[in-house]
Amino acid sequence: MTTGEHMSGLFNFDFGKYRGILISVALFLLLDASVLIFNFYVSYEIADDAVGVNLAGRQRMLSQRMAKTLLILDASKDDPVAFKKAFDELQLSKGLFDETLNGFINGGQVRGAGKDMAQLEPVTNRLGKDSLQNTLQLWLPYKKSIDIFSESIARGEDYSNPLAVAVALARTHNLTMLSAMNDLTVSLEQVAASKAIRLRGIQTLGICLAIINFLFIMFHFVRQLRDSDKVIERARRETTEILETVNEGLFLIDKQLIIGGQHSAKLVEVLGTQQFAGQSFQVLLESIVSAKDAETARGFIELLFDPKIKEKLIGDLNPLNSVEVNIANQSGGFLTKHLQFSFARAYQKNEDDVAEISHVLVTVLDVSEQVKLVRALNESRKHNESQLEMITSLLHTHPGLLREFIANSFNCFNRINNVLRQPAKTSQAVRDKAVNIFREIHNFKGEAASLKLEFFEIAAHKMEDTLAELRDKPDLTGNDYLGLTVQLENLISYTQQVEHLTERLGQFAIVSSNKFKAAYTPPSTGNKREHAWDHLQDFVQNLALRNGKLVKLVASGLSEIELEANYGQQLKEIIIQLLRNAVVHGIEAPNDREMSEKNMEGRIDLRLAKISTTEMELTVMDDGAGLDYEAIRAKAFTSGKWPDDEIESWTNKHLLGLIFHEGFSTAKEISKDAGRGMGMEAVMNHVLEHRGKITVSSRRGRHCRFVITLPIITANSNGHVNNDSEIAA
Amino acid sequence: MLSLMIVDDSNIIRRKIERCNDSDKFQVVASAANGAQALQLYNETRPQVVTMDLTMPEMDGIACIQQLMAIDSGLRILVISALSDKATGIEALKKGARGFLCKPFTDEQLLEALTELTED
Repeated sequence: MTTGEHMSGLFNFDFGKYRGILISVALFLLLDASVLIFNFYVSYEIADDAVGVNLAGRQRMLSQRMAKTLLILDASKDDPVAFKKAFDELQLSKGLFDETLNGFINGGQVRGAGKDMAQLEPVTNRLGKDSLQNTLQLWLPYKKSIDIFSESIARGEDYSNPLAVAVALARTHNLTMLSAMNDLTVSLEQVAASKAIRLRGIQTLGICLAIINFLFIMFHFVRQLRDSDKVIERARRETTEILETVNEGLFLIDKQLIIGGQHSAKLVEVLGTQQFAGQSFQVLLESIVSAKDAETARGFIELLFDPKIKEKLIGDLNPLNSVEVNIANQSGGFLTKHLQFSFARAYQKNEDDVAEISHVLVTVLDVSEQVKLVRALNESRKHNESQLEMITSLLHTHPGLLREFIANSFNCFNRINNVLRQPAKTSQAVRDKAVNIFREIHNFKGEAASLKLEFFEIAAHKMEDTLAELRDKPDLTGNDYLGLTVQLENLISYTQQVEHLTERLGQFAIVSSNKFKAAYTPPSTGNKREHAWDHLQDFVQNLALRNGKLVKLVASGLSEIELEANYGQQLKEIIIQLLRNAVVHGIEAPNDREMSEKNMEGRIDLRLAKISTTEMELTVMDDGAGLDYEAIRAKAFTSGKWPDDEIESWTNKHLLGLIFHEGFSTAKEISKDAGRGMGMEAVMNHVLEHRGKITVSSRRGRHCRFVITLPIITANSNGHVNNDSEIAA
Repeated sequence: MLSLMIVDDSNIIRRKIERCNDSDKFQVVASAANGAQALQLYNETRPQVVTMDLTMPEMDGIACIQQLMAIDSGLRILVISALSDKATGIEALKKGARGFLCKPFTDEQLLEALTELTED
C-alpha cells in the first residue's frame, strides 16, 4: 500500500457510530475558542476605554489647572518669575486640553500620561458627544482669549486686557467645562461597564453552551454504549442458546490445539468430562483414543491451519471421522462409543482486512447408534444372503437327496446330543466326548459339502473349531461344552427351517411337475439309487474349485449293490472322506502338474465292485503326488508325541499308519476341507467296525490308491452290524 | 491450460488419470512410474500440477514431494493414494502437497480435486 492510498484510506475512514461524538467534540472546541477570542477582543477594547476614561479625567484636571494658572498670572503681574512659570504651565495645559478634546471628537494620537502616545477613537455615545459639543462651544472662545493673551505677551504689548478677558472667560466657563468633562468621563465609564457586562454575558452563554454540549456528548455516548451493550448481550444470549440447543459437541481450538472458552452443552454429554476451556485438545484425545490416533489427529489439524492446503481436499484424511472411544464414567468404568469428529476452518480478519485462519471449529457427534445400525444392517444383509444362498442351493439339490440329508442330519444331531448327555466321570471321558462329537460333525460336514450346502458346511466347520479348542484345553470339564450346545441348537433350528422350506419347495415341485410332467420326467434307468451318487460329482468339483485344483471324477459301480440304509450311509462317509483326501492332498495344483509334465486336470477313479457274494471292494485312486512320507515324518517330529529317535527308525509302512491316527494331518493350514486329521481316523473306525481291510499303495509323484474291502450288508441280510468292536487297531 | 505430470507406479491408474484429463483444462505432459523418474521428467517438462502416488518403488511419494518442493515450493501437488495409512497421507501434505484424493476415485472426483487444487 502506498502512502497516497494510506492517506485516502484515512480520509475515507468510516467514522460510523463515532460521527456524532466527534462532531460534538469539535463543536465544543469551536465554542471554547470563540468565547476565548471574543474575550480577548473585548478585553483589549476595555483596556482602550480605560485610557479614554483616564484622559477624560485629565481634561477635568486640565480645565481646572488652566483656570488656576490664569488667576495666578493675574495675581503675579509684578513677579516675573512666578508669572513666567504660570504662563508656561498655561501653554502646556491649553495644548494638551485642545489636543485631547480633538482626539475625543475626531480620533487620533494623543500624548498620554507619560511620554507615550495613546490612540483615541472618536466618542460615539450620545452623552459623551453632547458633553464634547458643549465643551467645544465653550472652549473655542476660551482658547481664543488665551491665544490673544499669549500673542500680546509675545509681541511685548500690554496684556492686561487680554488677560482680564481670559480670566473672565475662565471664571464663567470653568464650572460648566468641568461638568461637561465630568459627563464625558461618566459616559466613557458607562461604555466600558456595558462592554464588561456584555463580556460576562457572552462568557456565561459560552459556558452554558459548552455544558449543554458536554451533556449531549455524555448522553449520546452513554446511550450508544448502552445500545452496543444490548447488541452484544443479545448476540451472547443467541450464542448461548445455540450452544445449549445444538445436537453436536461444538467448540473452537486454536493453533496450539487449546480449546476455546465456549462449547455446546451437548459436548459434556458426548465426551463425559466437564473441563474443556483452556484444555489441550490433544490431551483430551489421548484420554479417549490411542496415542497414535491422537498424534495423527494433531497432524491433521495442523494441516487445517496451513493456508496453502485445500480444506476441501483433505477430508478423507480425518482420522477421527468415525472412531471408537472409551470414556470413563462416574462409576469408574468405561463406556465405549463411536464418535464422529468433523473439523472446519474458522476465519478472522486481521488489521490489513485479510481473512486469516484463526481457529478450527470441531464438531463431535455420537454416532454409536448409526454404527450399530449399519452393523445390524450388514448382518441382516449377510443373513439374507445366506438365506438366499440356502434357497439357491436347496433348489439345486435333488429333493430326494435333500430329504435324506435332513433325515441324516437329525440322526447325527441326536447322536451328538446323546454324547453330550452322557455323564462323564473321568477327564478322559470328557475328552473322548470331544473326539466322538468331532467325528459326527466331520461326517456331517462332508455330506453338506457333497451337496454344496455351504451354510451347513460353515456351521459344522465352526463347531469343529470349538471342538479343536476343547481338545487342546488342558483341564477340560463338562461345562466347557456349553458353547458347543448353543452352536448345536442353532444348527438344529436352522436344519428345521431347511426342512420346512424343503417341504414347501416339494409342494411347489409337485404342482409344477404335474403341469410339465412330460418334459420333466427323467429317462428311467431302472435304478432308483442312481441319483444318490450324482452329487459326488458336484462335491468333487466344488472341492476342487475351492482348492484351486482341476479334477475329473470317474465313478463306476456305485449303484450296482443294494445296501442297508445305515450301512450305505457309512459307506458314503468313507467315500466322501477318501475323495476329499484325494482332491486336497493328492491332486496337485494345475501349475505344478504342468511342471511335472502331467495333464493339468487330475483324475480320480472311484470304483465299487462285488468281489464275492458277501464282499465288495471300494477303490479310490488319484493320479496326484502320492504319499509324502518325509512330510509325514516331519509332522511326527513337530507333533512331539514320540521321541525323535523312534520316529527316525519308522518304516514307510509305519508312517502310513499315522495318517489314520487321530489328530494327524500334513495340511499346512486348517481349512474347511482339510487339516484336522480326523477324517481318516473315521474311515479306519468304520472299516474296523465291519471287520474290513484297508490297503494303501502309493508312488511318489504318480498316484495314491486306497482299496477297502467290506462285507455286503443288504436290508434283507439281517445285517449283523457289529457294534462290539473287539478288533484292536 | 495447465500442464500436468502423473506419478503412479500402476499404469492402469496412470492411464485412468490421462484419460480423465482429456479436457481443455489440463494437459498431461509427463507420466512417471516412480519418484526418481518423476524428478527427471519434472526437470525436462516443468509441469504446473502433479498427481502423486505415495507407495512406489525406487523413490516413494513423500521423498519425491520433498525434492520437488526444494525445486519449486509453489508447485501444486495432489496426493492420490489409498487410505490404508492416514498418517502417511498427512505427512505427505506436511511435506508440501496441497490436497489428497482417495483411491479409488471417479473421473468427476479427480477433475473436481484438480480444479480445487489449482484455484486462487
